[in-house]
Amino acid sequence: MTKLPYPGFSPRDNDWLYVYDRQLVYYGDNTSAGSRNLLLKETMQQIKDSGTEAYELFGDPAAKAEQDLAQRIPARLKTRYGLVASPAAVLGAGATYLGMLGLFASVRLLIYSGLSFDLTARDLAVPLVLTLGITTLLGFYALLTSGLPTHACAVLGVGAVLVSLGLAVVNNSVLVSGFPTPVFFLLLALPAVLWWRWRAVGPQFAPVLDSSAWYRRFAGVLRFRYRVSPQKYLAEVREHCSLTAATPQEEFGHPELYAYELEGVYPQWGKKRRTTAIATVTVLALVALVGFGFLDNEWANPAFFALTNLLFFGQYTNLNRKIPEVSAR
Amino acid sequence: MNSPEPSSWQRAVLPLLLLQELSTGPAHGYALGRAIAERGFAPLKGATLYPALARLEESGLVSTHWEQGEGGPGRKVYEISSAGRRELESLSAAWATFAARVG
Repeated sequence: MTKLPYPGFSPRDNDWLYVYDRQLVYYGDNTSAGSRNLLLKETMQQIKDSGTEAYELFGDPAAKAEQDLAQRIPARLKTRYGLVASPAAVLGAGATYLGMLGLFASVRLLIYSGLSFDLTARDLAVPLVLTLGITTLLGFYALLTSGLPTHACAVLGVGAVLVSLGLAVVNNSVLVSGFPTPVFFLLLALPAVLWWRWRAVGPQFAPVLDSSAWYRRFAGVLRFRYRVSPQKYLAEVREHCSLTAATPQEEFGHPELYAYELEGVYPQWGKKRRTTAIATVTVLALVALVGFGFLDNEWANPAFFALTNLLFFGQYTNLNRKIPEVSAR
Repeated sequence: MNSPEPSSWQRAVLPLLLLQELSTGPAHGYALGRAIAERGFAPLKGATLYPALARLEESGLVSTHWEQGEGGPGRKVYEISSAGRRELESLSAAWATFAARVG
């Protein structure tokens, strides 16, 4: 007897699941394999729970595949937009940065201190401050371009407080009490950090927004991600919803995907000359910091903090440039 | 009336359907969607309709202007351009050939 590809399901359900599975791949060229597998697993579970045949429960497998993919918006956006689209991805990037720093520190300590060294609060505070600073910046940008300016400002505020606390520890050298630590502990921490990073950027599902939240988010995404005036599209959405008596979520789906449908490709990070310059300066600052730290046994190089401020300033001016208005003639 | 065809077919011919509707006169988005549904196609969600119109506008196949709403939001009216009429003729001919080939 031929082994069925979806064990535990009837041959008819296997046929349905096979078509559904293939259609997910066919339509979901912008989604990750992980999110497609998650959809498949969910659907299989629903079929099991219902006790009815898949076709009876869902109808056409191709239509369901298309519909399911359309509803998994943040996952699609994450794949298309990469780092800056998802706050979870940003946190993951911060964690990866910490992991890289740990790796670098381990190599350096192996060379200079051997297999064990004295770990002080200051040693811990500096990489922590760097990570917090970078994560805060990325998180701020990610939230802003997701149409959530209030959240973005909150993240910036919390980040500023944390960085200030970290700097206080660095400058005052408080709580300094050396204790020997096997250097390989840091190396062991790296896979854990990377695992957490990949766990954090797993598939997410679009929340159902009420109408006012939908309009706010849509306007925010248009303004901060695409740099177009929300007025260009908002009036039409409002009119359509008033005529159909439907909510914007029902008619237009998730605001991030709808904005993408209207405006097309996301203006990628680094495409503009100014953002490229800012990103280059930041990377150079980090390289310089690590280099100085490696050579001079000095991690808290003031140049890094000065250049971080430059990045803040650059982003501020970049985000506050004039948005062209489209008037309703 | 529900359309028996897969929804991907309808999306593929949506520019042609929209240009056909606009060739009869200017209209706003909601009216275009309703007219297409009245021809027997599946009702169009705003998320499908307006991006298609935006792409037609971006390609210069339709032009738009705003009409002031009565106390409500402004209304965007779409009108087929001369380039749009040429595109409609070209698409209609291509569609006829394609449909004949399918049989």
